[in-house]
Amino acid sequence: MAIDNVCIVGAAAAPVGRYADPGGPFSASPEPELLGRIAMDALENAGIDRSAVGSAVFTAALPDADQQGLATHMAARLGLRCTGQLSEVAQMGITGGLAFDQAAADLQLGRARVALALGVAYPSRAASAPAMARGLRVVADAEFQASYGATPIAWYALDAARYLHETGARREDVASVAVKSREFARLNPLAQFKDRLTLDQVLAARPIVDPLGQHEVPAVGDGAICLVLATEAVARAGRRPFVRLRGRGFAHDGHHPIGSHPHDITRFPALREASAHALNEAGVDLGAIDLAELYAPCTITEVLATEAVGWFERGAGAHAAACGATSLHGRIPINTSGGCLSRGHPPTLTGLYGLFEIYEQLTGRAGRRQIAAAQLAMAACEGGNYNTALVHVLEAVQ
Amino acid sequence: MTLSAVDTTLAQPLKITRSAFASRFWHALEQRRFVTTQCESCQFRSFPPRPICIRCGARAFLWIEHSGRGRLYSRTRVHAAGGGFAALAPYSVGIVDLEDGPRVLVRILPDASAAALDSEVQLVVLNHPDGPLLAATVAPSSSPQR
Repeated sequence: MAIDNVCIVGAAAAPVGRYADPGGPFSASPEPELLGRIAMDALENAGIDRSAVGSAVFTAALPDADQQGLATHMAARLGLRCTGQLSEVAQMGITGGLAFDQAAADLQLGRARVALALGVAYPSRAASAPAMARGLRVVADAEFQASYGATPIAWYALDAARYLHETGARREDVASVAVKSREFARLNPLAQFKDRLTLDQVLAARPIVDPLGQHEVPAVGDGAICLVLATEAVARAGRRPFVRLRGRGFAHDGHHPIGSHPHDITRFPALREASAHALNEAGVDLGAIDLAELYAPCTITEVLATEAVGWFERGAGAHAAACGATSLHGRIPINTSGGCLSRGHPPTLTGLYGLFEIYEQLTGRAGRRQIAAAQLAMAACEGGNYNTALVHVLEAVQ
Repeated sequence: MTLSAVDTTLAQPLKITRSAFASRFWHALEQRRFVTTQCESCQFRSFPPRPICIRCGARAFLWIEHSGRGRLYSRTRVHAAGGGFAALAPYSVGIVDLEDGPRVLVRILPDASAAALDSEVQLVVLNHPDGPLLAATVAPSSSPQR
């Protein structure tokens, strides 16, 4: 069987917010219920019947979710009869992108003609103490680093301190990414935070992990999302705009999160390699990319990611963002959804929310944050301190 | 060489099972000595200690002692932490590049929490009542009081 292209033909997502309501005796929207609604909305948006779904790849249920064994429970609720796969996947911040990647692989392997990449996550359900203890052990080496209390975002703060020291970049230029993110989020119905945010507010915010304050690190947010993938033959039969997967790259820099010996933690070599590979596979130059959704929990992370991909020279990313290069009418709009900081950041779903935004942009449905004539977009997600990177290049098909 | 020690009355906020393989490291730390593994084949020094050389893959290694001197590569002060770390906040953690190879992440003691990056620091033992950890302090020779 000839390999057909992989396309995104439909999608639906819940606004990022708070859905876990542990206060009362009844939950208004337990995870499986919300995800069920979203999955049916996505199939309806795609114009595809649930009976056509051959594979469904879920982001793994969070440890605190009531319903575990999510994949088959959801398939049973939705009446799916998959012959490709039903699975839950997880790999830190890459999780959402990985669900998409695995669903795409099933189409490429001929195991399915329609596949779902989906997930639901309520991080707000987690009691803070055990969640923090888990977070410390996820990013740090459990035996030799976790005991020191470097929280997951503390690693990004270490990036920030080093970056400011080495490059002489201005602190307020890094902070400006939070303002830019908020401006986009104000135009996104799915965004968690839409109040106006000024640079002064960002700089004066309560400190969280120096030098980063409250507006430069992500808040807790819940979400649910489903993308409908299909072969191009199926996509064309649908007679509506869709998005085609053009290239894919993955890399691991060999560390997690720091190595035994010194290396520059601010250069994100895995992202550089994975994005170059994805562009090469797509057969396009970086300059052809119209917008990008980058997994960036903190302001500094977005700055470093834009430099690693190659949009800006080393040390120039923060100033470029402050000058508007990554804004709506800038040279390369970044995180038009509002990103982790303002669209919101349920970590296991962020990769899928990024792909959702690209689907919206490339099918011309992004409303007031629409990038005019957007044809090509890049999605990237990461694990550790961008020690691993998974990148996809996607293209609009009208 | 013996490291200096700093005592704290707080129990370690996170309980982690120590591995039998690394007991040599933990026992040495109780004696205020910092040891880690060095590959017998390619001499690569690893921290955390590892039974398989990450550079050449050899499985034979020696335990060697480090001076604990190094440079402060980066640091952050953590103001918001959960669980047992909340009582400790704000506290500083940082990355130290040791003069004899390895890079470590450790607690940064208050005297070094405002030190310039790349300045010289010295590892010390942080004695919790339930066992030792490492921390970095301003290196004696580079301290302002010298």
